[in-house]
Amino acid sequence: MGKAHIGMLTDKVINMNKFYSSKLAVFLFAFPALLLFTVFVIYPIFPEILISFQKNDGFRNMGYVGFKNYADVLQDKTFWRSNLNTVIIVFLSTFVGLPISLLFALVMDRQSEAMRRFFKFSSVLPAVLSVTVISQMWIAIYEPMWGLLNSILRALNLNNLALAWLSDSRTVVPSIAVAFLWQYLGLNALLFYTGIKAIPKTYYEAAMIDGAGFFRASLKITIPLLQDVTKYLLVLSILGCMSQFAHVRIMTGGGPGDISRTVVYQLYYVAFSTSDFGRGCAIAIIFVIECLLLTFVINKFVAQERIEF
Amino acid sequence: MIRFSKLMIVTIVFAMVISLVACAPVTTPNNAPPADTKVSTGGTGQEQKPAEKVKIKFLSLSADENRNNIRENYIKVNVEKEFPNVEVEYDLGGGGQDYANKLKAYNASGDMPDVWFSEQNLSTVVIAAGNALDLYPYVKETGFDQKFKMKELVQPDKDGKLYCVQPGADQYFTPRLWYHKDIFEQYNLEPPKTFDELVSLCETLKSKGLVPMSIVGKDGWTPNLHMVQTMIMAEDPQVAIDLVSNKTDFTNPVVKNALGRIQKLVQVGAFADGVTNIDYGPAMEMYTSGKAAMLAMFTWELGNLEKASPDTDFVPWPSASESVDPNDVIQYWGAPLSGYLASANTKNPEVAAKFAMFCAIQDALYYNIEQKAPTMLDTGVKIEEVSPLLQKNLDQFDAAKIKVPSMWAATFNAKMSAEFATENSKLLTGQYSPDDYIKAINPVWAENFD
Repeated sequence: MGKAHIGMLTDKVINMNKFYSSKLAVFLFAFPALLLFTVFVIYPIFPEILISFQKNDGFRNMGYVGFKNYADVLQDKTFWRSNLNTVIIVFLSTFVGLPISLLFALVMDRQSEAMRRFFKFSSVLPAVLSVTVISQMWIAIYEPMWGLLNSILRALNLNNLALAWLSDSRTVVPSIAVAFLWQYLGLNALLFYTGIKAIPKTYYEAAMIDGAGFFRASLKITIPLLQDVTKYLLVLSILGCMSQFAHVRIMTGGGPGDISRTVVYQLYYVAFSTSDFGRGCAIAIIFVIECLLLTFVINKFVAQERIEF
Repeated sequence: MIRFSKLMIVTIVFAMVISLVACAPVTTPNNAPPADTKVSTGGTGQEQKPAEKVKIKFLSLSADENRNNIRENYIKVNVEKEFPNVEVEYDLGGGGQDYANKLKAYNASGDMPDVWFSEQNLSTVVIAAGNALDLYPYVKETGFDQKFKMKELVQPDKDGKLYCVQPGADQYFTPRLWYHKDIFEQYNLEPPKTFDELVSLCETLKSKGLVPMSIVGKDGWTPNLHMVQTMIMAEDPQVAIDLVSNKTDFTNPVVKNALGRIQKLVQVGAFADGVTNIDYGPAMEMYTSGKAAMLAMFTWELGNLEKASPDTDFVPWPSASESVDPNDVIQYWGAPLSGYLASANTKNPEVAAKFAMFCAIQDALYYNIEQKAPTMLDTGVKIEEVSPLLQKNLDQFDAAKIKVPSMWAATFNAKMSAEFATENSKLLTGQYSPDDYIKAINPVWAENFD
């Protein structure tokens, strides 16, 4: 290969690098995603804001009502209950679910290859199953007369604990949260596991020489170095739980009454069931603000300093 | 950087304009069918060959056996004979709230199916949005209106338009308290005549390890469709009549007592554990499998119950006042806007209107033939070999002196239906007081007739 040829190749590489770092290239690559994002995310927000100031039944604007829809929403007890339910689901799925997923990941890391394969398969399975299947399975588990949970409790002579899980106001929301938590437990564990695999083995070898066991190594090395994965899962889990709808729709329909409605379910109910799209859009806008605030808080306070390893 | 930002802004604006155009409601002229879409005249058998088949979309309920049978065994079977030039796309909409929301979503887009089935409260929403076709000219033209025993069912609305055609089967449907004779004989029990007897019967059945009464509790279905009204009528049928005609509201003491009676039934364990989550199918299965001794259900299930549980019998709903004879009062289903509607935006209004009438006839045929039940729409089928249970039902229906239309079917708008369902679902927990119920529902009721 001649010098001239090498020179040509070098020029090509330089030109390509120039192109890829140019704004035009950035625009061309980002354009399809940007277009979809604009059409399906940005654009709908504008009519939604407009409708939130109208008396609107979904078909026609019956006049502008100022901030009345927002005032109605903020004075509605069901809206605040739906917020509380959402917080309960977020709390259980995030602050109970994620630690369990992390524990699974740590245990998975210590297993044999065959065992790990089994763990990986069973981790992904619930996440790829349809929400309907998962919800129906949990409805069967929670069924008060012949469901698995109550059958076990009765077999253990714990009849007092055999409740109507999805009809009792005390248990319905945590029961839905458990179903949701269970579905993504494995997938989150797998993501944690991927993070663990990226940590250099030398750190653990050094820790072992210093006499650190599994618990200490996990606490001092693994968990701190997983901060990026943790942050990612935290955002994903919190926002995923915030927009919880399908499990509630299938498992309880928001009931009994309005007891298990989440914010998104309440939005759906107000807009579609009562045909009050003005108030429904007001809930949507308030919800968007809530989500933005939460994302801001997470970004501000969680894992700000990047750890390089 | 400025040029880049400008480029981005132009892109976003372009995308928004495209979205705006794409999301605009579909408006198609509804009175100009294409020249090549001539079809059968709705059952006369005199059809002309078109250049190509006309396609129409039909949305129907698909969560209960009767609706599925009508669609699968009558509409689908006979449509080719009656409409050889029409290709029907069947859209299965589920049932209950799912169906309601699907129809509302169609309505919001303005892109309705050509023909669909809906109850009164949903029909009013579609009509208010201007999405329902006036069927009156087609009804007159085909003589469909002459087939009705009750002419009110095919009379135009106040605006001179007729938006719905129906089989007229609903007017014979009424809620009954069904029970297994075998279970009652086994435990030497008598069917209840009064509400107090019903309560004590439920307590006895519960002590025997049975579910006393199966009801559809999900979304408060049974109280929504009849139990609240049944309990009102058990004490004073006039209050139910006044409610239907907006002469009283939910603060009426009789209404409060009625709600209290449902609460009492929950508290004595009349219904299955977790009743608020029991759907239509499981509730029926609970009764037909013998796990429940009684069933609160409409007579549209009579045929199915006779087949699944031959030991089934019924009693009129027990009264809660000495002045009310249970045999004298009856609640009937059916409403002027409960049936088949066609879209105002359909490309083929004539085909859609005739298909809607065809569906109403098939619906009536199903009830006449399969259920041996009479309909207001005369199909020409003579109902013979009526079962003793059906005859008993018809005799009691005809003999009842006071017949009250269903509040749910004939009176409620979409918001009232939704809030009523929410309140009834809460009532079924047994921990929700009638006072809280009335406080929540009365403001919604005040807006119902706006």
